[in-house]
Amino acid sequence: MPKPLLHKPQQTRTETYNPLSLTQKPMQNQQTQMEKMKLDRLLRKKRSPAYMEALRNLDAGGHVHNQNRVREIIDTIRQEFPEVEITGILLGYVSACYLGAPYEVHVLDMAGGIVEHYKAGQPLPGGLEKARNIAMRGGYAFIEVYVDCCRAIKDNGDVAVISC
Amino acid sequence: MADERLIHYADLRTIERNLQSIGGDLQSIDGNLKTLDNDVGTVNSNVKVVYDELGSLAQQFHDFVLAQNAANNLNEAKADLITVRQELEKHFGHYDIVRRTTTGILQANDLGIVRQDTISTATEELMISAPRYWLAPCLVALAAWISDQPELSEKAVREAIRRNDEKTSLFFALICRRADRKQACLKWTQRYLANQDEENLDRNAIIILDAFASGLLGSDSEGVVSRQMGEWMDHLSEQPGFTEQQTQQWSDAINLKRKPLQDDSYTYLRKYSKTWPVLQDILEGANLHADILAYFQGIFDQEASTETLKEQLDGILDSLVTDFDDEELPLRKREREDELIVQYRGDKARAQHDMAIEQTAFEEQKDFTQLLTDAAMKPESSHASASTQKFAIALSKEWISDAYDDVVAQNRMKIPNEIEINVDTFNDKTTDGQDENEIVGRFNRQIDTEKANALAQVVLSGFDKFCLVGGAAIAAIGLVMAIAGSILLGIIAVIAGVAMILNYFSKKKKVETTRQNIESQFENKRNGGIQIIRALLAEIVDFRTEFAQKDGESEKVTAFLEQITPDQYVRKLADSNRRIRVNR
Repeated sequence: MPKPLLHKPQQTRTETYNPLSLTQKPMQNQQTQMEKMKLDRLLRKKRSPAYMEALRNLDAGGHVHNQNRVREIIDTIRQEFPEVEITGILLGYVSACYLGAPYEVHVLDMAGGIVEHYKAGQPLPGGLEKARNIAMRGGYAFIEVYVDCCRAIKDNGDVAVISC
Repeated sequence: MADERLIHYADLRTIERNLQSIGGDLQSIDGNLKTLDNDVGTVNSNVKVVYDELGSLAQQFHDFVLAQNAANNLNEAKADLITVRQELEKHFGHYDIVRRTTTGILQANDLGIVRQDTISTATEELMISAPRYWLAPCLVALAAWISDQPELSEKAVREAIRRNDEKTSLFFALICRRADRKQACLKWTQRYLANQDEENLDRNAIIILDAFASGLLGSDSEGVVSRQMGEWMDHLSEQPGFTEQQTQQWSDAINLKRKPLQDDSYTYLRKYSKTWPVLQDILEGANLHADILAYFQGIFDQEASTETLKEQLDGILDSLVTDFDDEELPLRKREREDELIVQYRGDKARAQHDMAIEQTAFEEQKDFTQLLTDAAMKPESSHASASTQKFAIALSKEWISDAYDDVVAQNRMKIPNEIEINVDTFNDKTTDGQDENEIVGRFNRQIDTEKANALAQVVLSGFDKFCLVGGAAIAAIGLVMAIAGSILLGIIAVIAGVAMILNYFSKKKKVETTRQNIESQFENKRNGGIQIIRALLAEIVDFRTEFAQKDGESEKVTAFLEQITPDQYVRKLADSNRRIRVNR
């Protein structure tokens, strides 16, 4: 079929409630920044080596993490997604813990800004529990946990999306 | 007897006669009624005959009306056909000559039996007689090209493009393909595709893309057509939600290839673990990877045949040259409808029904990505060639990769960290089946506890225990009494005492037998349970290993998709044997 002379006009977009937002303030920021589809597309992009490196080092600090180090990691995360106020939608990170038994996983809880290691049977805080099994057994570098989904990040930075 | 009343016999013969007369009359009336009934029956059948005849008459009338209408329609159609054809002849008669000449030139050129002067003269006259028709300058350009007159050819091509860019581009793309001018063919193809709406590709565009993917239009070494497709993809990807929708479509298509697990595997896990449904689900998900790899590899190993495609391309050229121009269409539609009415002897409804079918037959439209998805995953229904399947997968590989990564991750999300063990009353968990000693130890402890509880129920009652001491005491007292003189009482007491002692020993023996039975039952349960647990743990170890191995196959699919590039799968054909021959 021949191409029309003019492209079909885009439908007028109306700002809607962003279901990913946890709190009112970030939600308002999100609404003005981008709609959910654009956000999904942005978060599907391959993660940068710097970002991967920062999150791989979560485990490096042993039991206790220097608060400055955690702040650096969170800064790297923000730099990875400069277009979006990530703290409003990202609950945290979960990855397999290589400290050995009895520790299973370690998490970076974005709300508290802390890194903690968890033993078998110890529940994870702030909605992060849903990523525990895949973090332990999925073979991914780490799992980003969002309100409505998890994003499993491969060692090369590729992203897989799991609705949950 | 003063109260007695005497009844005398009376002469009733007159009454009887009268009654007989009435009876006769009634019979006569009955006969009359029967006659009447018969008459009514006759009237009824007569009325039915009348009705039948009336119905038949109505049917005949109806048929007559229909026949008359049909005859009217037929006459009208015939008359209209003459008018339409006259109008067509008057306004577009020379278009037909253009079409016939084009077909003739193409055939003559293939055979190489007509001189270029003849071709030039024929075409230039047609140019003058068809001032708005796109095919006329195309014909001039073609003739000029054959006669090696580049300037005239270029001018004519410009005019043809001005009149109808899309059709001219398609025409020359197909002519160039026949002439084996692959590079020019690709450029015309690109021009034709640039005129298409990527959200509504028609049948011709789909066949052209199929031909491009099969290499029939030449090797796209300069990437002219590939760039066009890249532009389409970029444009489509800009639409909000498009990429996500593609990923979802591919995820669904991939998941449709899942197959149920064979019934004969993991018999213990099926029977003794409540986690089995999840394990079955994830193993089915992991088995998918090998199947998907085989599916994609199968497509890429297919030998492509282009014979049908070549026929389709010639078909497009044929219809392009012989089909009517847009401005003729209203009259041509009228002509076709009249023809059908004449063909069906005035049956207008049937003619219109056929018209509708003819019109919709080739109006199928798809957007570009739908075309790719259908070609890759539904080759049976989309009739895509093997080359197009390869090309479609190559072109969609990013979406397929994303979708596939999601499918893999969704499956991994369900992997249970702990697997339940449910053997009779024993419920436990293991992560990987390696902790056999601990689990068997816990099982043994549970059996010990259960056994102890069961044995605790099987003991002598207080009375039974008393029977031994009490019986001995009573017997001793009875003995003393017998010696002391109360012989009868003494003997009774001795007998009672002995009976109590016997009761004690009997009960004790019974309890011991029961306890032995319990011991033996629990030992059987222990041995059987341990056997089941060991087998179950072995299956869990096997399951984890098999799952890891099958799940690992996903990397092969990812790697396979990674190495595909669209350019690689545009077939490069050997030189075609068709060549333009120019008579000098």
